[in-house]
Amino acid sequence: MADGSTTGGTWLSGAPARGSAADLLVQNSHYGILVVLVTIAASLAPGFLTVQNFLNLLRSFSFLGFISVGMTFVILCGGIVDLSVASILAFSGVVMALLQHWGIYIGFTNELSHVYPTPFIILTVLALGAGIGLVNGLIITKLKVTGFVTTLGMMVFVRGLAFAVSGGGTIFGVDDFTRYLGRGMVGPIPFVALLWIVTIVAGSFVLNRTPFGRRLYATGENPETAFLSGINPDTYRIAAYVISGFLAAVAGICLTGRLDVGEPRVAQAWELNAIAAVVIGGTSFDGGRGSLGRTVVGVMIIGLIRNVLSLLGVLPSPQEMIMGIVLIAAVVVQHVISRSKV
Amino acid sequence: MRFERTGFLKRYGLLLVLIVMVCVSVLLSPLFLTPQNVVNLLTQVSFVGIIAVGMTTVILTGGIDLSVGSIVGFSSILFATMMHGNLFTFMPDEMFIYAGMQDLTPLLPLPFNLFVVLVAGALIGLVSGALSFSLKIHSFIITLGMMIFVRGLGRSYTDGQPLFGVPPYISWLAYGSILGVPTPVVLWIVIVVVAAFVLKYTRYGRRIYAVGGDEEAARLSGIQPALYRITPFVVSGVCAALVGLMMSGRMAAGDPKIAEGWELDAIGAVVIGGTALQGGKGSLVGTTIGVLIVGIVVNVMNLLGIADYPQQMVKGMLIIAAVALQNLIARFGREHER
Repeated sequence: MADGSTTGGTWLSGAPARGSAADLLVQNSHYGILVVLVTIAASLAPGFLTVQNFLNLLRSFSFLGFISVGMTFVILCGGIVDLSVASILAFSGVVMALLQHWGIYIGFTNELSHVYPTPFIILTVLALGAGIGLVNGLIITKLKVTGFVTTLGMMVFVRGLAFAVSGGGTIFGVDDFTRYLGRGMVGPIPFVALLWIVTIVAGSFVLNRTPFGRRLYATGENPETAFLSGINPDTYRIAAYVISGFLAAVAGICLTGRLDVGEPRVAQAWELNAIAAVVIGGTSFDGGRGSLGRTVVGVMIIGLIRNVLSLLGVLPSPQEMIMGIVLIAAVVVQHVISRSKV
Repeated sequence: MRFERTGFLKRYGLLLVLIVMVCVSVLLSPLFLTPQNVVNLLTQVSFVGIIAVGMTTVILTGGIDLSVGSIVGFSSILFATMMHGNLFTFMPDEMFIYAGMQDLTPLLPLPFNLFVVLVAGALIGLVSGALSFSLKIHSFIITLGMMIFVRGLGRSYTDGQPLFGVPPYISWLAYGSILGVPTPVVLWIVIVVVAAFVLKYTRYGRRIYAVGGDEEAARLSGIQPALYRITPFVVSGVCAALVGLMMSGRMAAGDPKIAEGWELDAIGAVVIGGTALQGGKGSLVGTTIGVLIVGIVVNVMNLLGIADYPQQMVKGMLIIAAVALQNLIARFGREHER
């Protein structure tokens, strides 16, 4: 049962617009969970339903949001997962800060000393992120190493690289422009949140309205048939990993601006959170079925559950327990729903 | 002639790599082959080595178990909680009081408290295996959820604080020795030998390979896949629980935060050892060599005084390179078979 754009449907959610009300209900159950969570949160905290709080939440979701968008591309095209994203995020942040502190190598640490102007630094970091993704893709398609193993190795390697280039320490202070990327506001909207929304819209457009996107879905659904219909699956696999690496670099740049430090330890295990967000949203782990809209809902569900649990005064450790149960429950419920439809 | 050569490479390539690495290590550091260092090396790798045994059986059936690291932490704190039975009647107001509680008040007599921990590990594995088999959901997702859940469960007991004090027989698991060989190494060897025997020479083991290789074909030849899909997760859970007990001994405390990321270390060793993630192909001998290869690389870099970060980079490259190399050899072999 294709759930993606191939069957048509609402543009952003990717859910097929057909069938009875009951059908519609089960297909969009993740929206239901979202509404329930918002209601609980609103009743617990009076300030919850304000525009300002919503925008703040959006900002806090967006860092994980970027890598979840990239992860969706990888999972959709049947690449199983990209475990290296969190390491790429940390590495990008460190390089971003490092290139603004070039003097670190000759003994100055606290003053900004740009190796070249900030826009070029950003381009460098984005290119590095995309480059690591490209290496992932090439190893997977050309050397036929599975995506899991390749990105696992890359995850360990790039994290080590992030520590190595920063000397294991934290690089303090970035320039105003970088800080703006993480903390700035465009009118009332936080810049990161805006960038995330733009990314989602652009990503959905690419996935649903371009030949590239349709071929990516086709590759994920069945690489063999995709190949027989004239699609080179390798191209789309590589592209998915490049997109994933690129978005991890975007998240790394913004997070460095937000934290005002280049820190190799950030985002530990975020790759697993991103995978959880994609899966909770309902994108199939087998590839070819799902959408970006679903991932966005998944990211929001994860963020809101944490928010609600904190509002309820639940300690971090039981919060973790609940997140684990939510993840398993989400896949079980989706499974039961998809079986009842057959 | 050439075909025979690739056949030889496929069969003994990994062993050759190990021998070459030992030789290079000896050249790089005169300390490498000292008895003290060899004993240290083996003891260090035996913990991940035992986890990797369970992981191998899971991966042979085409699954993966991400929850093992969390099970290690959970078992450790579960055991410590059972050793401090008075916690159940007397709850300290402040968490730091836990730290002072050295006197042990076991809930159950000796064999039972070990038994409970191992059964808890088995149960976690059983739930993972049963869920992923019966619902046909990839075990990556189920065990990812289980990993987060079990870690949270372990940390909830004491709010993430370690609980100090373990009985002598648990210290023996980590620091003791049998005939001069450290207990962890003995345990590791025994588990590897038993598991390798079961996988190779029993009907159960052969069927694990069959189900992992092609479930449909196995089903058509009359094998019920349920048993062979679910039990490896139980084995993996028990192995992880045992390592949790050993870690408690090593640290003289139950600590729910230990062994984070060990699942990835174990998976790395398994794939370096030539077991395919798709299932059905691989062996415990390979895994053991994989564990040793990673252990030697880390050990030599430590001896040479290389910092932690380059070590990580080498480890990452090692995983990719090992699998890429195996694929190339396999492809080369196939081309010459024709």
